[in-house]
Formats: sequence, C-alpha cells, structure tokens
Amino acid sequence: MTSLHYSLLATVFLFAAAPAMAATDGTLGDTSEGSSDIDLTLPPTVKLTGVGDITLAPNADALAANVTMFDDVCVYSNVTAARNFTVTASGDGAANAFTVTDGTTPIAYTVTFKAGTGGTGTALTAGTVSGNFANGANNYDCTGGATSSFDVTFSPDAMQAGFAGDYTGTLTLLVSPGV
Amino acid sequence: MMPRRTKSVLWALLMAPLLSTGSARADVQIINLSDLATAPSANLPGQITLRDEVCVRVTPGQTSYRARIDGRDGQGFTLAPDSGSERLPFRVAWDTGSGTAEERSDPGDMGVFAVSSHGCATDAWLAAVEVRITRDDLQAGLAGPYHGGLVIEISAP
Repeated sequence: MTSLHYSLLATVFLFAAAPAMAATDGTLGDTSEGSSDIDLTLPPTVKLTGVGDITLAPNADALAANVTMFDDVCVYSNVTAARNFTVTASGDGAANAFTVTDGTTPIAYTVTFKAGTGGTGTALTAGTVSGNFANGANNYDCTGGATSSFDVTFSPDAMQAGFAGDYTGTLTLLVSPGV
Repeated sequence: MMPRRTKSVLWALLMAPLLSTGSARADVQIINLSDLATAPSANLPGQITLRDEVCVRVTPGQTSYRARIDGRDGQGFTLAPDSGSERLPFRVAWDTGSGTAEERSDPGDMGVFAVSSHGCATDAWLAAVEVRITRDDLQAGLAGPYHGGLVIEISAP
C-alpha cells in the first residue's frame, strides 16, 4: 500500500472517530472557561384524554334513520410539526367487531373519527390502524380544548333487526404516534 | 537628549514590576465538567433537571468568585432540534451548595458566589450547574434529539 493510501485511510479514520463535542475544563488564570454539551431526546408521545361514555335511547320514530352520538376528546401528540397520530378502534364483538349486545343478539355500529374542527370524520375499520390524523394538542392538559371527536352511528337496518331492550358494548380507541 | 520613544519604553519597563506586585493575583479555574444528557420516557415527567457537579479552584484566601454562563451557539439558553426549527428553551441555575441557586432564563452574569464549604480538590470547592426544562416546554417540544451546550466562565469578583 502506498503512503498516499495510508494517509487517506488515516484521514478517514480521524474524521470518523472525532466526537461531536465534549465537556472541557477551564485553565487556571484570572478567568477560567469550561463547557458542557447538553443532549436531550424526546420520545414520540401521544395521550388520549376526555373520553366519555355514549348513551343512546332513541324513540321508535328514530329507528327509521341513522342514530349518531359523538364524543369530543383530546389527543396530544409531539410527532411532526403537524402533531400527527393514528387511531385504532376496536369493539368488543367477535374479531373486534363494533357491536353492542343484549347478551344474545349483537347490533352493529360504525365509528368515524375526526381531528380538528369542521368537516366529516374518517370511517374506522375495527382493529385496523387508521391513516394519519393531524392537529394534536401541544400539551397534556389540552388547555386549548378538545382536538378531536368520534362518532358512533347505528343504521336503521341494524336497529330494526334488534329486539327491544338494553344493549351495551365497549369501544376501545388506541392512539399511537403518527408519521 | 533621549528620544521620546526610548523614554516611554524605559518608563514602562521600570513600572511593570511595581504594577504587577501591587496586588496579589487571584487565579480561578473550573474543572470536572461533564456533558449532560437524558432521554426521558414517553410518559414525560414534570420538569427535567440535569445537574453537573463541578469544582471551582480559587487562590488560597479567596472567598468568592463570579460565574457567567452562556449558551454555546449564541442562541440563548435553547436546544436545537436535529430536524425542524423549533428550539427548546431551558433555564440554568448555579448552585454553590449553600442553599442559594441563582436561576436564569437568559445567558449572562450569574452573580458573585461565596465558595462552598465542600472541597473537591486542592483549593477547589464544589459547585453545580443545573439545566432545567419545564413540563410545558417538554410537552410542546416535538419528538426527536435536541443538542446544545453551556459555556461557564469563572472569574475573580
């Protein structure tokens, strides 16, 4: 190997091995100056708050059309400048189906999720990660108010097929950092 | 007749020893600095405090010193993200261990401090610098690495 090759290798090694910076002590004198590096890594973080229960008690006439209830929630996210996050909704029916039941008969419902204000929500598929939602809050306490909402909708067909009585179910919303 | 320039040089040479022995020289030194690093969990706690204990060496008999702390990149007390432009602010405190810790949100003179009662080397006394990041600022910051630095200058008061 020629000396030029050795020189090139040494140069590459020196650049590769050089630390970014490191703490330095001061020298003795009438002034003395030292320095320290500061490194902080914030992990991707999300937090869902403000979730409430949803109760519907439609009268007989209401069974002729969709019955929808919504709940305002707050999602904190520190991922990307848009504060993105995803939502995975799961029901407690078979295979995470969105259903309520009276113990024997399930009634299906649909779920939509909306980030920000205005516009329509995005339909969620049970057990499936959504696409990115944006406009998450920038603090855990949601001092700016609710950032998002979700709707639960029962169709006339589903309700009319059910028997009179009380139906219950659990909807689980899993919020994850977006990309 | 002596030229004026020669006369000035001779005057300076004669006066220099007198001026230098007019008062005892007060030397200082800051040592034992370390880098500060943290990677908190996703469940962000309240305020994060990063603390580095250092030693301040002073001339024997000297009982106080002045501390000045600046950000390393001239951007105040802030950390720069690897990506994006939103810097993360922090506050800095200087603690001599005597129960007083001056805290500042902007670079500059931290004040004059009595040497602590805790020795850490020959003629050197313990002190600590603390970097404090508030809960609100941590939550407002975007995920990812942030970098910055402190420059600490110690001098005779």
